Amino acid sequence: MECTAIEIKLNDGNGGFDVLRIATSPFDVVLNGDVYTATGDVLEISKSESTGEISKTGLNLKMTGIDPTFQTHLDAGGFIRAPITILTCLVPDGSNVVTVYEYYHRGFCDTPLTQVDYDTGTLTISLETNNVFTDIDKIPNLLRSSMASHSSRHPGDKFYQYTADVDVEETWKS
Amino acid sequence: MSISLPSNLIISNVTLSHNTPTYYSESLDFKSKSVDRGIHRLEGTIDVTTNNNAEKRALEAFMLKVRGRANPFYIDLPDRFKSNTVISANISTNVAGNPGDNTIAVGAFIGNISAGDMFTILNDNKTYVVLDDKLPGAGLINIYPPLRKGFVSGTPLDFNTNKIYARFRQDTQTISYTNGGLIHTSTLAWMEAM
Repeated sequence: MECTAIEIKLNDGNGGFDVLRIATSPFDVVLNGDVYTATGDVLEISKSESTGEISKTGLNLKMTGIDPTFQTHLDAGGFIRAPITILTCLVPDGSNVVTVYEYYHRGFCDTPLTQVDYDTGTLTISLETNNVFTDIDKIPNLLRSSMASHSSRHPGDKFYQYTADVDVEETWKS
Repeated sequence: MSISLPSNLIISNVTLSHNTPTYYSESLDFKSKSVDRGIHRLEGTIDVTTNNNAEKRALEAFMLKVRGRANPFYIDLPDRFKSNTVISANISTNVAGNPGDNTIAVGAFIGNISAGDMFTILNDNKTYVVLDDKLPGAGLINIYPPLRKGFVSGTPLDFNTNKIYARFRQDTQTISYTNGGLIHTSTLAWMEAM
């Protein structure tokens, strides 16, 4: 039997993790000693895209919004930047222990969105994720050519005091 | 709150489907590969007809207790859905079961367990099906689907009074008032609730 196992390390609000392990199997499965509960909450996992360059492409996970469990975590901000791992697993017949698995996606959760569709009568939580390369995509926190940055290192020195007034792009030539 | 289909209705035209999804692929040369997802769901339709005035009202009340897909309910079907021979009511497991197991170890019992018998396990609403005949006496029975929940040794199995735990497939349910309103009929499309 094949199934998908999802691990989300929700922020517990105290700097720690509240680990949520769920599986798409009809019964609970055990993977590396951890129990992944078959809660029946996962509705859809979008396809994982591969690109030839480093990108932070993530995927979309759709979960039921009827169970208040997720809503509670959502309200508490538990999903924000929570590490998520999605694994494709193979479980042999007559057992619930995963013998073979491979990584489908690893990354971080974005803020989830609760979606209500009155036509189909569905209440879902749509969760965007970014993959692990999201950190590379971050703007580096370096010093800038500004009065604020300069005076933090050299108190009293006014070298950049007119920078903001000179409304042109600075070009540094070597 | 446990809701059951009113018991005295005339049940006719039962259809039953076994939904067992698999992952399947077929290559260009028609060679195929498949893997079981370990999922099983009973699905079907039944036509119900009321006998008398009280039953007509009971059927309508049932519809509003269930409210479309909102609440699951029990369907008690006779004949094929019960044990072929009357199996001793105290048939029980003699080894604990784990989720994913496709066999159950039972203690000694009276009667025969036949392939195709349906049964339920205490604290689990899923209807399981026996795959192979089992003569009286302790031993293993092969089942499908694999156990959805674990259980402790000694948990009773119900072959004689088992009911299907079902949910309507649609939110809208229609009752036809035929023969000048004397006879009320309805077709119930249901699927197993899990």
